[in-house]
Amino acid sequence: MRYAPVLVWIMVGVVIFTWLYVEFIHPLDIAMGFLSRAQSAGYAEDIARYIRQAKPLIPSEGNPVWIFPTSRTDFKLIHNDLEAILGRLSTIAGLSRDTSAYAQTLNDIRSRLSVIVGHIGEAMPYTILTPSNIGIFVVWLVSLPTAYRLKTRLKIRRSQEAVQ
Amino acid sequence: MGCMSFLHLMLLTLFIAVSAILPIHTLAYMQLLILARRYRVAHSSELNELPIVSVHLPIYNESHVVARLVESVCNLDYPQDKLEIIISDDSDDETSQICARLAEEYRALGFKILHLRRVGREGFKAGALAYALNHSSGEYIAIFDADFIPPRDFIRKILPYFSDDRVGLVQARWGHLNRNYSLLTSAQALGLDLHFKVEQMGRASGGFFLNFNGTAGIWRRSCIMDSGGWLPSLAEDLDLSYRAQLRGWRFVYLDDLVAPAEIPVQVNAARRQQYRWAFGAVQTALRYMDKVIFSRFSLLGKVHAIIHLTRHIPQLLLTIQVLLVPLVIREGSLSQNYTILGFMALYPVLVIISMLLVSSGFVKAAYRNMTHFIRDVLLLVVWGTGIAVNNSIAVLHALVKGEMVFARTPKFGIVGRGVDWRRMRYALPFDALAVADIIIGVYALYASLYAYYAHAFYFLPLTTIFSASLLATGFATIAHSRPTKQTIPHGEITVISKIVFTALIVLVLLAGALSSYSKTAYSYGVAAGYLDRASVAAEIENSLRYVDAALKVLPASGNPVWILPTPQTDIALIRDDLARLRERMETAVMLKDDLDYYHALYEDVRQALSNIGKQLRASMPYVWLGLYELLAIIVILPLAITILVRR
Repeated sequence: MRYAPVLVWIMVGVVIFTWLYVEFIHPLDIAMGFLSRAQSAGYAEDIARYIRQAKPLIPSEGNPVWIFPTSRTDFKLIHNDLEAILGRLSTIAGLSRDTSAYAQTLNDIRSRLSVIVGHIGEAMPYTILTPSNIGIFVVWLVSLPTAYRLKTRLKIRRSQEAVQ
Repeated sequence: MGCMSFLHLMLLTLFIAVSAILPIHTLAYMQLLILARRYRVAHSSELNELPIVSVHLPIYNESHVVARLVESVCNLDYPQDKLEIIISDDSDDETSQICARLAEEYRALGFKILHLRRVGREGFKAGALAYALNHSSGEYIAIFDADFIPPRDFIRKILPYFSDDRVGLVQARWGHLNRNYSLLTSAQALGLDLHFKVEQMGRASGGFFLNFNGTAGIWRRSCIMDSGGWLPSLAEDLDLSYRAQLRGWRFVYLDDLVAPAEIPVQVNAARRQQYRWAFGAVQTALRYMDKVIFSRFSLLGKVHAIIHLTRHIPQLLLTIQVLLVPLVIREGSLSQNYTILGFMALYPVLVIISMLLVSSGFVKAAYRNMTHFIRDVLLLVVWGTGIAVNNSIAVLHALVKGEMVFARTPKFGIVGRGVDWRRMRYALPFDALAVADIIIGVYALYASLYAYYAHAFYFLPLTTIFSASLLATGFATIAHSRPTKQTIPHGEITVISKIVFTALIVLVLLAGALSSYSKTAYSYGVAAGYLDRASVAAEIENSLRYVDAALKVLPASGNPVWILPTPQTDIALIRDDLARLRERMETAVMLKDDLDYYHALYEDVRQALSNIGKQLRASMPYVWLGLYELLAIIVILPLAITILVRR
C-alpha cells in the first residue's frame, strides 16, 4: 500500500503517454510507413496507391513546429508536393514501362519521397511537444513530488504539534 | 547544419554540452590525482597541556552497534578527567535503554559520560550535534557515528595539529570493517578509498576546500561557533565545512590516521546513503555557491570547490546523455558530426575505467593483487553507474528545493562474512526508485539495440554499461528488500550452488537469445544482406539471384513490429514490392540491348532494393526481442536474482 501512489502515478503517466503517442505520433508514423513502402514499390501505380493511403493520415494544413517554423514542416506544402508527385505518376502511367523515362521518373520520385519522409519525421516530435501537451507532462511530473512534499509538511506539522 | 531544424539543433547542442561538462569533472579529478602524489602534512608541535576534549556521539536507533562504539570511545588513550563523552540520543527504540545502561556503567568506572535525550528529532543529526554542543564544555569536539571504532591514539595523534590557531578541523581517514563482506561492500570500499586517497589528499595538497566527512574528525569549538554552529541540512558536515573555510579557518586531512567503520551491506541502505549525500551536496551548493565564487580563494580553488559541490551532477548528465542516444541517432545529426559525438559518447566510459586504473597506486595497500583491484574497479563502475538514476533524482529533488527527512543509513554490526542481516532489525523495505532504475535500464537496453542496428557502435559501451548496471542495481534492490512476510527458511545457498545457479540462468538466457536470433532475427539479417548485395551487384542477373535468395528466407507474411506497427515493416507488402521489382528486372534482362533503359531501370531498382534492406533492418530489434522474450527476461531475471540473494 505504501507504494500505491507511486504505482498509480506511473500508470497514469503510461496511459497519458500512450494516448498522446497514439493520438499524435502514430498516424504520422503509419503515413511514413506507407511513404517508405512507396519508395520501394515496383510500379508507378503502386507508388501512387501508397501515397494515397498516406495522405489522409497527414494533417491537411498547419505547421506543427511552434518555435521557429520553416516551410520544411508545413503540412500544406507537403501535401502540395505529394499531389505534384501523384500528378507525375499519372503522367508516366500512360508511358510504356519498358522505357528509360519511366524508370528515371520513378527513381527521381523515390528520392523526393525520401526527402518528404525526412520532413515528416522532423515535424513528428513537435506534434506531441505542443505547449498544451508539455503542460500536461509538467502537471503529471510535478504531481508526485508535490504530493510527497505536502505529505512531508503535514507530517512535520503534526509531529511539531504532538511535541508542543 | 544548414538544413537542421531548431529541435535537432537543440538536441545536438544539449548532447554536446552534456558530453563536454563530464570531461571538466574528469580533468579536475586528474589534477587531484597529481596533487595527491605531493601530499605532505606539516609537522606539528606537541601541546604543552592536554585540553578537555568532548566526544559527541549522535545516535538514532543503533542497537546493534552502540555498545561497540561507547566501549571503543571509553578505551581511547586520553586522561579520564580531560575526556567528556556525550551520547546525543534521538532513538525511539531499545537503543535508549542500551545507551542509558552504558552511560551508567562507564560513569561508575569514573568516565564523564552524559546520556542526552531530545524531544523529537528536530534538525536530525545536525540538531543532535547542536544539542550535544550546548551540553558540553570541551575546547575540542570529536565526532563519531555509531558504526565507527576509533583507534586508541585517535585524540593524541590529532590534537598537535591544533597548535596552529587557524586550524579548525582535523579529519582522519575512514577504514573498513567489512570490505570483504560482499561485492557491494568491496565496490563501496574502493569508492571511499578513492575519495580519501585521491580527493581529500589532492585537495589538502592543493590548498582547496576540504570537507568534514561527518565523523572521525575533531573540531575546534571556537571554529564551530564562529561559523554559525550546526545548521539543519542533510549534509551538515559539508555545510559547516564550507562556512568555516569561507570564514578563513584551515582544515587538515590526516591520511595516516584511520578510523575503521562499517560499510552498508544492504543495497537499499547504500542507495539511501548515496541519495542523502547527493541531495546534501546540491543543497550546500545552492546555499554557498555564490559565496564561494566571490570569496578570496584562488580561481583554481573556486573551480575545485564548485566541482566538489556539484560532484553528483555528472551522474544526472550521464543519464541525460543515455536518454538522448536514440534521439540523436534517429535525427541523423551524426552524419555530419559523428566523430565528435562518438568521441563524446565513448569518453566517459574510457575515462572512468582508465582513471580508476591509474588510481591503483593510491589504494594498492588494500589489495593483495592487481586482479583483485581490477575486479573491484569493475564493480565500482557497475555500482557507480547503477546508482546514477538514484542520484540524478536526488539532484533534481534538491534543485527544486524539495524537503527531505534525514533518513539515516542502518548499520547491523556486521564485520565478518557470512552474517545475514535480512532478519535483523532496521533492514530496509523495498525502495520505489528501483522501478525507475529498471525502466531506464530497459530504455538503455533499447538504446543499445538501436545503436547496434543503426551501426552507431561507438555508443554501445556507454548504453550497455548503463543498462547492465541499472538493471543489476534495480533487481538487486528488489532482492535486498526486507522480507515482508515470515517465510520458511530454506537454508543457506552455498557459493558453489550460487555459481552453478548463475551459470544455469546465464546459459538459459544465452541459449534463449541465440535461439531467438537464429530462428527469427537472423533470417531478416540474411535477407537484408542479400538485398544489400543485390543493390550493389553489377549485372541485373546477379541482382535477380540475390532477390530470389532473399525471398526464400523471408517469412510469408506478418509484421515483426509487435507494438504500434506500420506498413513499413509489413512482410506481405515487402514481398509484394520485391516480386514487382523482380518482374521489372526480368523485363530489363530481355531488353538488354536498350542500354539507356537498362541502366535507368537498374539504377531505380537498386534504390528500391536498398530501401527494402533498410526496412528489414529496422524491424530486426523487434523480431529478436519479441514480446514473449521481453516478458521472459522481466520474469526470469528478477526471479533468479531474488533466489540468489535471498535465503
